[in-house]
Amino acid sequence: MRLFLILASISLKLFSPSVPQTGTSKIVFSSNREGSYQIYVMNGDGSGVVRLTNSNANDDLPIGKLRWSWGGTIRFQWFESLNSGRFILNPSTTGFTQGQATNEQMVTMNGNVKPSVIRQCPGGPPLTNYKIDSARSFVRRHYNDFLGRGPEGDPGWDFWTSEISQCGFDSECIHAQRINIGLAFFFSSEFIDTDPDMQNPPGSPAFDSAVYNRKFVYWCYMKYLHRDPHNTQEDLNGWGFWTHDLDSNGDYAHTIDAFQLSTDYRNMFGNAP
Amino acid sequence: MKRLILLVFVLFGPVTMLVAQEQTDLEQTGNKLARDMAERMPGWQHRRGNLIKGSSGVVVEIWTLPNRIVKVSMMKRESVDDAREKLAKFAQEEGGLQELKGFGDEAYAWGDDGANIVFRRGKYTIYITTIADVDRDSDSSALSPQERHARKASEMKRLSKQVAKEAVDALDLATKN
Repeated sequence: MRLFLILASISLKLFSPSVPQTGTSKIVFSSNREGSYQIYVMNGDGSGVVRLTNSNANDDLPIGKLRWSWGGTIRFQWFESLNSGRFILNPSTTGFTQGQATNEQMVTMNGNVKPSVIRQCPGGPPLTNYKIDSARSFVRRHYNDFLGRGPEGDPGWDFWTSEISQCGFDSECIHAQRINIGLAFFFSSEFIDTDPDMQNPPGSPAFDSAVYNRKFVYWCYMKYLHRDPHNTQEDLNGWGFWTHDLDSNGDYAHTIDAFQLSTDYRNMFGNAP
Repeated sequence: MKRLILLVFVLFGPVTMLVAQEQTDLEQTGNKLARDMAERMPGWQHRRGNLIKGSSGVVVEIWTLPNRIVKVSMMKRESVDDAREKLAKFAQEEGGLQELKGFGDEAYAWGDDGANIVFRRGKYTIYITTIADVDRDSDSSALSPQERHARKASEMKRLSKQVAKEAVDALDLATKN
């Protein structure tokens, strides 16, 4: 019995969610309990659930960690429209009230909620009109383009989205994770299965950079820019340039970064701000 | 200790078993589908494909001919309405899909200049994508870039449609009971 109690105690410590210990703690979470993903806040004991968002843009809502500022505010991203970004949620000292439907909601750890104007989080990613900047849309594109299947109903969509959304408002982290996801899709068995030339990636015994690098860049054109680099002289030159670049530095992350950040790619999913 | 184990089993056992059962059902249907398609498509090689990390609830089958690869990804939704909804969402997000007739309950050509196909049959959704490595064809060096491009495009569309047609018929047979 004593052993049971000790194990139960350890389990509780290991698996209890870390809820900020300030006053009446609140938990912010996203859920599709009403059909589409929305953001909710509730009391630490699970009571008093209040929906904060009213969005149809299901795909664009974040899944993953929400960032807590100790003793201050909770921040979350709400992609109600393309005209959005990462928001700062200011503290409030008044009672718990839900704000009007605007593009931003503020939640304090004391449970106060009120609307505010959109502004960029200092040090965070800039506001954007590009849908591809949404973590969930970004991952969707990788499913559609690299794996040839939609992510609907696949828990992998949440898994990869959370790899980005766990960065909160850390621009460098988000940037790095987007590149890592590109690499992960390139090096996934599921993608490799569709091209024999990709079956020996860097680090594998049979890796041949002369074959692999050229094909890697080819797929960057096909999967990111949706065009075959064979088809125009300009793209043939670009293909040669990026292959030479890869041959000289072996930096696949750099190549993926260049394609992900290219104007051609970004313009496919939104207009310039 | 026994109580702890019992508690974990009571709490998570049914959920785990349900998920495992659904995956098994899907895999069994996938096996039947592959067997029937193999009979309908002599000359093709096929193997079960891998899934990317994090994915589940999908069965992937890779079909190959020399220099040609067709990937078939099959999912089973909770209900026909769920399948319809998820396909509509995919169509909405992908944009510019062309409706196809004669492939299951609803079907679209999408991506790669319309060379890929997605179709729904009841609760099942199947995505089909084709890679045509025309550069490796024996007569490739005799083709102009335009001819290679044209062959690639037509091969991708032709093979996607051929495999989709066989997949619809095989799925009907696999889910008959």
